[in-house]
Amino acid sequence: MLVLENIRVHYGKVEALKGVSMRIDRGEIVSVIGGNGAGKTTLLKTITGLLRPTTGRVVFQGQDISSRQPHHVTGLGVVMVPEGRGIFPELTVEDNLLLGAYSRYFKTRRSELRQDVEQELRRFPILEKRRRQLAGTLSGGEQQMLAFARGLMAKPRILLLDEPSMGLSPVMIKETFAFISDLNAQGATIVLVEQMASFALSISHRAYVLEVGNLVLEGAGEDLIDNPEVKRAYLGG
Amino acid sequence: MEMIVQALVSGLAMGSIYALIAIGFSITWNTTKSLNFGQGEFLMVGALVGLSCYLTFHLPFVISVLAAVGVVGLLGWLLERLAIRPIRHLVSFGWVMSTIGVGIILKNAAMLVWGTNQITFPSPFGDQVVRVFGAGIYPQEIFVIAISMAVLTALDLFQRKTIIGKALLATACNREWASLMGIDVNKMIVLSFMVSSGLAALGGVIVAPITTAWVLMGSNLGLKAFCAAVLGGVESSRGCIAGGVLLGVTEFLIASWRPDLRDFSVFALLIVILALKPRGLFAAPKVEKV
Amino acid sequence: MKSAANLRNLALACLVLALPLGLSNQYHLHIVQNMAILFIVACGLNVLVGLTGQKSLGHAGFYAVGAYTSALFTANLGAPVWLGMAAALVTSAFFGLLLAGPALRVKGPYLSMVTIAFGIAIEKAATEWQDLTGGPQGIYGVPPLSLAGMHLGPRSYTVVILALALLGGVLAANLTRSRFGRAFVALKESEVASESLGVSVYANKVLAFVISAVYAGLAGALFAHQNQYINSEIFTFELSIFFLIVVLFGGSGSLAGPVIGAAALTLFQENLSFLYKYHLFLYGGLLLFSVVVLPEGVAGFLKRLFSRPPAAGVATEHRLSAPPRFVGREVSRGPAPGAQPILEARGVTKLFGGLTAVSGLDLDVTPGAVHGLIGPNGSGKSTFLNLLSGFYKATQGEIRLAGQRIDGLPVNRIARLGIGRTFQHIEIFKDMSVLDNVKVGFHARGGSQLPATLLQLPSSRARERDIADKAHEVLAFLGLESLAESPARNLSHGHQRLLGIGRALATAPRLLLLDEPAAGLVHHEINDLKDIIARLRDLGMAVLLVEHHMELVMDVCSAITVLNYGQKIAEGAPEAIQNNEQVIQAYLG
Repeated sequence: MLVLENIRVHYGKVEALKGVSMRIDRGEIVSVIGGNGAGKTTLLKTITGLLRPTTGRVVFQGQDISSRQPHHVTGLGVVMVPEGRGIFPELTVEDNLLLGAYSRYFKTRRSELRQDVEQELRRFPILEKRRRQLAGTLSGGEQQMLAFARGLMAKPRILLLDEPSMGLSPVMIKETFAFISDLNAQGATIVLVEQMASFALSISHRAYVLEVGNLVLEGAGEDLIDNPEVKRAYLGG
Repeated sequence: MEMIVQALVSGLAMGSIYALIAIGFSITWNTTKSLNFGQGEFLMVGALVGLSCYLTFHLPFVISVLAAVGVVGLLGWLLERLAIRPIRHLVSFGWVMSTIGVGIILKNAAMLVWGTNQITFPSPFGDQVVRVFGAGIYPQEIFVIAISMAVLTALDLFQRKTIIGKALLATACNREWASLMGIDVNKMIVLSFMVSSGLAALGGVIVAPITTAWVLMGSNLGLKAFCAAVLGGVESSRGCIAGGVLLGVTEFLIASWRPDLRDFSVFALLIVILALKPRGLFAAPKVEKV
Repeated sequence: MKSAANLRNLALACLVLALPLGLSNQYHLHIVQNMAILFIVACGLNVLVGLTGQKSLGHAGFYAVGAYTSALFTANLGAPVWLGMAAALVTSAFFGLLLAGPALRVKGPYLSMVTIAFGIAIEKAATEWQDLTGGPQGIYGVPPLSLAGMHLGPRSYTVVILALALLGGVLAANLTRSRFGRAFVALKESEVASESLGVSVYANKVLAFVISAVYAGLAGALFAHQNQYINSEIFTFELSIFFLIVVLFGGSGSLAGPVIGAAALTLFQENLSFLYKYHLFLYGGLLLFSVVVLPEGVAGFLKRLFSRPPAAGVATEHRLSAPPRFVGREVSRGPAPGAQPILEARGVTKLFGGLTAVSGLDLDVTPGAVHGLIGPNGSGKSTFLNLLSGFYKATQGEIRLAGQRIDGLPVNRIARLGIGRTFQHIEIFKDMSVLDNVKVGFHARGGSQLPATLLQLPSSRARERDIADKAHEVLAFLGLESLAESPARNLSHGHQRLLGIGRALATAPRLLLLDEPAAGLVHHEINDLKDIIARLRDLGMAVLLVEHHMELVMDVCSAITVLNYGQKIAEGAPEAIQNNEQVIQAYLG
């Protein structure tokens, strides 16, 4: 479904991604793990068009989307939940959800959009309670739920999650990963970028390990969990 | 007593104009961290275009207003393309000078079209003064206050209730995240400049019957409106409205007491207030992240 | 070398002063006088706008203050002209100080507004306070400049004004090339980095403001005496914009800029009478042109055109192995290695609203040791560094440097007490040369005072040479010597990181805080970094290293503290940390 061909990305003079290739098939959860500065967020930003690759291609469902603008890419069904969740604090929970559907807003009937909002609120009862609250007043875990719900409002073909565990308490992290696993069980294709390697690997079909912009390892989730190379990538030595 | 009521009403009328323009500043500031320093000239062009439509082409007042807003709205689009977008990645605060530059050019263009004399813009509501508490008030002044309140309310509703309004707010909050929603951020920015310019034009057309319309009417008004936005806090629309009203009323109250101190006191007051509250009277506190 | 340049400058100066002798037309002489006066304004405004980057849209106000002060003293009170001018300097300095206060608390459009408001307030005061200023009627009979009571002919008058302009230009040039000039540019590029190097951003901004006010005031006074008549309609907002156009068009930041700008805009103005109907088009066009097409101004553009292409990225050269001696000297003045810790943090807590970033952290760093601070993202490492360096104020707890409490002190003060640091997002001064970047680090430690600097007294020049020598030592230690004159923006990422360290070293710190220095470095650069850190440690410096690159941390640190969710979860030697279950959990989940 999504293919990255030899992607090189530069931030000014620094090469953040050094020729990365990967592939994500429909219905998979694929994790991209690695320490800080490995280039994980850069990877997702390149897929969605926030960054342009210096060389290489991003191909989604056969279409080259390497130089597309982010709002186009979202419109094609590639939806990203950014690092830190990216919810709009001065808008209500409902409004955040509506904005999540912006890419299909003018092609869809209002009533259907309303239904979608209700569906998401049913999926997350806590959000239902807070539907008219400003999103900035929500706790970290609630914001994470809102970010997921908002992403789903776009009816994504593929969902890109950037460090969903960031800033969450250990309990919330477990819930979050359980939720991601459920989503996938319902048929969602997910690319998961994570620092919490063990959690991510335990729910992934396949995973890639990035280290300072290079792809150093690739394999099935359950295989990589016990791989000593993984531990080395995170803790040196 | 009549003098005070008169000052209050006139101050409120002028204050509403300041508020309209200040909100325009706020909208573009929030989406792009820049604003149109030539806004006063946009106001002036709006007033003169409206005047021409009304007097020269004998169009109904409402059409004249809409024409003015439309023309200047387009100027706003032009401004963003010529003076804001090319600068974005170049010089920080280059937009201050580039928008001043566009304003100056507009002023010259207006001079060539309309000459440099003051032109009387007859109010569509007539010159008969209305007596309230013994004070003489022009119906145009009441009209200004009413229309401004209506427009500001409409603007607020637009921002809070329509999806485009929310998309604008999202863009102002964080451009990256907004684009991830599928929002075309560039279009939002253009829209914010067009709305901002349109508001200035509206202000110009409805205030011209009170102040007379001429090529130099915009500079002072624009500066005072900027003053109002900064006073209230340019990031907050409530602040801009409050700043505008506060400034207008203060200005006219002082003018009714000591007309020679009018402008001086307004600007001197601003310096004092900003020294005490650097981000405006109604700004939310900000945490500086290193 | 130096004497050749000096000779050339002297020749230029003589040429400039001799210029009026070649002109006989009074009109032309008048134009030259106008240029000189405008040049003086531009010079001063250049210091503010070009160097510190504070855009003032109200300088006509200071021009007016100078003009009216001198006019009133001489025309109304009958004082001699030199006294009037001296009074003009004093009053403009006073107003500069007055405005600097509120102006520096605000940023961006608020600063623009404050300066606009000032200019307009002065204009309105001049218009309305007719008893004092004569309002639009103005003040007549302002006496012209005279030399020792002798009346000056048009040519001599021009020479005098040119001489004053020359003097102003020389002083401004001396200032620009001095540590003050460097501090000004540094604070424009990064206030955060400047403060961390001991530069008081506030004090320097005020200084720049006052200097630009005094120049404008002097020019205003000269104008009053030249024109022999002033009124309130001269000193408008448009005049302030005009002054800015001069600086922007000519090129801010350089000395040639004000000359080009003043000359061009004076000629522009004089010839406008033929095109009066379109004069605003031209002004506006000029302004747009300056900002969009030539953002560095004509002078900047010419400089770029004629300068040599910068040196291509140099491969790492052989480094001097010993750290600079002055650093060693400073470090040895502190506690001996292995003895008392130089840094003691106790119970440090930082709350941001409802978020606890750091909670009850105890941490010691001893001299002659490298202490690592690691933890997953958001664990509070950077927050802690900011607390130590003074950018954040701790909600609770105490921080002591060599026994002295430093929590709550301003950043530049903490820097001067002996804490140096680097930043995650580098923050080097891109527009300065590599050497100048390091020189900024010496700002707070022994430079000469302002008067000596302006006059380039021998003591000040000796201090500059000393600073240059020490800066070269630092660069040699880091292997950047051959890049000394390159603009810092041209450096590779790895070299920029090294430069950040060099800058911090210039402050001769006793405790060095390194914030992710290895980010974006390639393998051999990390080895170099390891070596540099090790040598500093062996010198006796205390180093606190925040890093994600675990190999580096494990190799070079003697002790490591691990944070998670703002709390310390482990502390000890590298091997112990690597095998600590809690640590592994925190990182891998």
